[in-house]
Amino acid sequence: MNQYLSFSESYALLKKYDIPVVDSILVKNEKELAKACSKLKFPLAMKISSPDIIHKTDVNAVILNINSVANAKKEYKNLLKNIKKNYPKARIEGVVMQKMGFGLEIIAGLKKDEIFGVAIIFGLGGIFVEALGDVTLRIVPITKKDVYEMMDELKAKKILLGIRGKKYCINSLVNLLLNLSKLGDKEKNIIEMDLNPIFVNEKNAIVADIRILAGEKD
Amino acid sequence: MKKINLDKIFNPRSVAVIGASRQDGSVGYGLLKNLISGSTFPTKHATPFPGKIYAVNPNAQEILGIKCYPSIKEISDKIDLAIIAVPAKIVPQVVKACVEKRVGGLIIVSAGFAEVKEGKALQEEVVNILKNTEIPMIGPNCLGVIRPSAKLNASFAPAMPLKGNVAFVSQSGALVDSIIDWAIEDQYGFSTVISYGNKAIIDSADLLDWLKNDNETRAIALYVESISDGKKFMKIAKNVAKIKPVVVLKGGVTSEGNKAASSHTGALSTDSRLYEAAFKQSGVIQTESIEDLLDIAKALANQPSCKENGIVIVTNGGGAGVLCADKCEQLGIKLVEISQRAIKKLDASGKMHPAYSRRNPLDLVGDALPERYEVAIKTLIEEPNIYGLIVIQTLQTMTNPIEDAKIVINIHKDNPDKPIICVYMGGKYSKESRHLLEQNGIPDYNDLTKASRAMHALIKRGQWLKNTSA
Repeated sequence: MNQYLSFSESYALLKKYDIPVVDSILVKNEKELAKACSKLKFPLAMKISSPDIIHKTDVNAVILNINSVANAKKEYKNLLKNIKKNYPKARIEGVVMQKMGFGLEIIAGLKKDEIFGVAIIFGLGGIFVEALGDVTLRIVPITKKDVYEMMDELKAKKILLGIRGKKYCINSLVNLLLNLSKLGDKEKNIIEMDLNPIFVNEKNAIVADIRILAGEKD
Repeated sequence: MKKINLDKIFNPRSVAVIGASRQDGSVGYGLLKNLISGSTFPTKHATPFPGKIYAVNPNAQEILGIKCYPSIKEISDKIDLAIIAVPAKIVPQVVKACVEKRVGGLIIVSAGFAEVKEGKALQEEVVNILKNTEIPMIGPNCLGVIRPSAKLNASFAPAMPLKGNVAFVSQSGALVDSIIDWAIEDQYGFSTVISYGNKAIIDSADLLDWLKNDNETRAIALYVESISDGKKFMKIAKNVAKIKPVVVLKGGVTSEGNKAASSHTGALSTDSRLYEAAFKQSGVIQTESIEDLLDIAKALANQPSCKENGIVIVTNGGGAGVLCADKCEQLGIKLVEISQRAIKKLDASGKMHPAYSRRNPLDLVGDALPERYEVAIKTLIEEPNIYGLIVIQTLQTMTNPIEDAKIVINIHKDNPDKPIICVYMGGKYSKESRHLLEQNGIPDYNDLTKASRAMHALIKRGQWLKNTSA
């Protein structure tokens, strides 16, 4: 049976391949929530963690710009209430508290293909994925040369290389993609994987949301 | 399947047609006729297969003057290649007989296998019979194989094409038929033409692998609709591409994503993107149409790759030069700056028109005689920053196409490492010069876009070879 990996499984898998993820803490009650708030710095993002809720933004299960513990507690209650009401059967793992990411939104992902093996894609992320489909694809494993060639194929290439004074840490993005390729090559049970968005800014490239569909391990 | 050796299929000494037919218009008749005469439609250059030809048909005494045997097993001679054209349902028993006869290779042209639902089991049966043998099988549901150099037309294609250095490998058989007709008219030659049909055993990768070491083949043009084993294809294609160019046309390119995908990545990993990536990563150059496929294969087979992205256009017509430069820019081909030293040389030659352009595209002006072309091309091809040339000729009252062609041919002989692509534009009066160029391995396109695309492919190939060896 194919299933979505939980927050902790997904987090651990990316860690294993040195793919940086925005500081995140899974909380299961208000006490843990308060603790997470003090550990992470405001502003924070709050997301439901459930294997049954995939399109989180579509169901208002992502809350951004949380600025205080009181604010966090209020949103926490609302979020759980909203989910219980609309998805009574959804298994709830908890709520993920996350530092807000910033920078250019990029998507990267993996897809198992019957004919060629595993494909890796990357391109402009966030809402642009559906609107523009400006992505480039290769079969893993890929080399650094491949990654640069891929960047060259994107219509968003100029944005990525920096315009109007904006600069992005391309090296971090290249490393992230090479590590993702490694993951795709080694972890044979991955069926589909979205890292969307990945925030690329002046300093680094860091994953803010993970969705991994996995099958049985061989 | 153990080790695959296709030598007996492509260079056989004896061929048997099983299912040879008396009926003019049938596949079994066409096959035999093509072996006997090289061509069903009359052509000047077609010649009979010089090896031994056998016919198998239990109901006939002889067909087209060839004695018929009731079974392949009755033939006492060794059979290198057996072509099977019997109805699908009796193919398994015929294949068994071929295994017992120990034929060197098989082509099954019969249809009615995995291409239709009811034929899937039948195809599996055939594969199982051959599984533990070393007999390679092309097909089923294919047109066959043609090797002009071996004077072998083991197909039911209408005619034997001219001998050339491009191998054409096609999943579709009917496409091959029309391409051969066109190629004969256009004097486009092939080293081998293969229609491989349902690829039950031998697939496109196996054929590439064999063609890699085929001395007759300098470039491979591939038409595919589907690849079954992508990893195998990529591995073999990459090895072949290191040795000779591979060009592909992918049919059935859908941009439709997987609607059932549960992720953006899944939805964006369309078939066309996957194939495109696989070709790119294997050094296989993808083309856009049949014409494009053959145009680019011709350039890659006959010219060296362009070592760096930097070329010059030489023309006797301003407009043609501008249009070609536009196309080059669109494709990302760099038109280099012509050095002052080269301009001085041209000025000093005394052959240039006072109003010649002195820059790239080098416009020699309409009244250019062959000697002006000669000085210009010779000077530019020796420039270290120029890696390839597109030579354009428009036909004017004083133009001498034949002499202009000879100049390019001779200069290329002295500079075999830099590619030259020609555009001797026109029709009736430039035809002869175009054929002369092509016979001497200089691709000519009569079309600026095609010439630019051909040069682009030579540059891409050059870059890929450099990146791969690095």
